[in-house]
Amino acid sequence: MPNFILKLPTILCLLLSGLCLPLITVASADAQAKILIVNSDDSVEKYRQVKDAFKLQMTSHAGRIIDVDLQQTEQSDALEQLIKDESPDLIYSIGSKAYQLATQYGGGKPVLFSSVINWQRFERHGNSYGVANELSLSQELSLLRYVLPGLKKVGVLYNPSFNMERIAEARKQMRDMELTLVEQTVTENAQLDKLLDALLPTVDVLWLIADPGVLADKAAVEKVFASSSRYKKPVYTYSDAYTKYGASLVVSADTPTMGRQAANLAQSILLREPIKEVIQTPAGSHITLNVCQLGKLNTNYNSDALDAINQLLECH
Amino acid sequence: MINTLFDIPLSVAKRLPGAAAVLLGLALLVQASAAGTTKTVFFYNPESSVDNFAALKTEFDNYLSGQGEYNFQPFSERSTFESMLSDKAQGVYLLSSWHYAQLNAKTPLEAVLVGVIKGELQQRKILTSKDLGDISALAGATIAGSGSEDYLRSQLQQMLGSQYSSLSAKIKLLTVPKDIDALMAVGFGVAAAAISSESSLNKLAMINPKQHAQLKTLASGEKSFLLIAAVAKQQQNDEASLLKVIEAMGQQPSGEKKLKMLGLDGWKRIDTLDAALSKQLRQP
Repeated sequence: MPNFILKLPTILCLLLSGLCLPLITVASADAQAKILIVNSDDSVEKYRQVKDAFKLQMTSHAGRIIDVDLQQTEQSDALEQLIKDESPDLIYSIGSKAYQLATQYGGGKPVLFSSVINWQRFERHGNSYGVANELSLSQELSLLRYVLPGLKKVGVLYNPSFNMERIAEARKQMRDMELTLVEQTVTENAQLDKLLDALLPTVDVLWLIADPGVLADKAAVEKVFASSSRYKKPVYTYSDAYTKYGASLVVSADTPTMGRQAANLAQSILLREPIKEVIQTPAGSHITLNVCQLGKLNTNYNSDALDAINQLLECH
Repeated sequence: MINTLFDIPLSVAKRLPGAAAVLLGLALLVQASAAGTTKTVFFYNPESSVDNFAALKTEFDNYLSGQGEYNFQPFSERSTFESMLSDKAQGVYLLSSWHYAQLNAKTPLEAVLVGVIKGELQQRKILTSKDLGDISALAGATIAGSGSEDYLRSQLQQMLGSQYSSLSAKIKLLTVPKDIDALMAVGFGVAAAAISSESSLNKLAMINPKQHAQLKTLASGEKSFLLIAAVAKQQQNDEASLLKVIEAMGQQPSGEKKLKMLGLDGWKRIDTLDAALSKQLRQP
C-alpha cells in the first residue's frame, strides 16, 4: 500500500487541524468528566432512586462521580470548598436545598437539577438545566382518560391566585379529549363544605390538584375526601400520599425515569450538544389504581390499562 | 404450608420498591425450593419497564395458590432470570418471544402457549416522530421507548435496516415505563421519536386524538409474538398441570384480570397454530 494512503488521515487532520482538534476533545469530554452529585437528603427514597438511575447511566460516561449528601455535610461552607477543590465539570443537584446551594456556590459550572418541587420559584441562570418534578398537564389528563374512560365530567376546586393559568390550559386540553371541566373556585377555605356540596353532584370524578388555597391543612384534605365518599365520586390526584384517604387513581412522575432524563441531559451538556429543552417535563409516569375504592363507588376502570399500572390496591 | 413462604404480605409488598420485592421473593424461593413441592411460574419481560413486580407477585400468588401448590416469581433482572433457568429449576417460564428466541440457542426450552390480546398473537413495533422527516434525521436524536436497552437497540436496528445501521450508535435512548409514556414524550419534546407497539399508537388515538394526529410513522419492525409460556424441554410432562392452570386463566374473570396485568387476555396452545406460525416458535 502506498505510504501516502496510510498517512492520509493524518495529513488531512494536520491540514484541517483547526477542525480535527476540537472534535477529538469534545468526543472524549464526557468520558473524562468529573460530576458532583449534591443530594438534599440521601435517606429520602425518591431522591435515592433518582440518583441511582442517574449514576447507573452515567458511570460509563463519566471519569469520576463524587457523591455528597447534604444531611451528612454540617456546613454549607464545606460544599463551597469541595466545589472549589474538585472543580467539577457539572453539578447534579437533587432536591430544592441542593439546587439552591449548587446555584449559590457553583460559580460558572453547569448546574442540573431534579426533584425540585415547583422549580419556577427559584432564580434560573443561563447554566441551569433540569427535569421538572410535575408531569405535563397533557399526560396527566390523558392517563385519566385512559384508565377511567367512562368519567367525562371532571370537577376541580382551585384558588385562582395559585392555579388560574393551569386551569385555563386544562380547559383547552380537555376539550380536545372530549372531557368537560367543571370548575369551582375557592377563595376562602371556610367555604369548602358548601363548595364541595355544589360541585360534587354535578361531576363524575373529582380532580384534586396541588393547590395550597384548597388543601390548606389536613382538615381540608379530610373534608374533600369525606364529601367525595358521601357523593360516591372517585378522586383522581397527583400523590400516593392521598391513597390512605381513599384516592381512586394517582398519577405521578416516575422517579427513575427522571434520573435517566437527567443523565441524558448531562451527557448533552458535557458534549456541548445543542439542547432543545433545557428544563424537561418528566417523561415517565407512575400509576396507582385503587380498585378497592372504585369497587365501593361502583365505578368501572379500563381493564386493558392494567399492564400500565404500577400499584394495584385491592381490598384486604 | 410451603406456599406461604413465597408470599410477600401485601402490607410489606406495598412498601417495597419493585427490585427489593423481587429479591425478597427470590430469597424465600430458595428456602421453599429446598423444602419441596411447590411449582413456580417465573416471569421476566424485557419489553416493558413498568415497575409492578410487587403487584404482580401479590395478584398471581393469590390466584395460583387457589389452584394448587403454585406460586409466581417475577424478575427485574435478566441475568437472575437466566441463571434460575440454567440451574434447571422446575416450573413454567413466561418470557417475551424476543428473549425466547435468544435463550433457546443456549438453553433448550419448549414453547407451549403463546399470549393473546383481543384475538391477536403478534404485535409490531414502530418508530414514530412529530418533527423528523425521515429516518436519516435520527442522528443525535433521543428516542424514548419501554423495555431493556438491549431490546430497544435490537428493535431500532431492525427498523433502521442495513442502509441506516450506522445511525444506531448516534442515537440516545430514554427508557420510560410504558409505550404511552414514550409516545407522549415525543408530543412534548423530550424525545424526537418513540419506539412503541402499533396497538399503543392506536390507544393514543382514542385517549388524545390531537397528540396522535401530530405523530407519523417513520419505520416499522417485523411482527413478533406476544409473551410465551415455555418449559425446559425435558420437563414438559412434569409441568402439564401448571400449564393447564395458566392456559385456563383467560376463561375466568379473576384469571383474565391477572393476565391483563401482563398485557394479555388469554393463551393459545402452540400446537393448535397454523404450521407456518408454530414453526417460528419451534426452531432451535
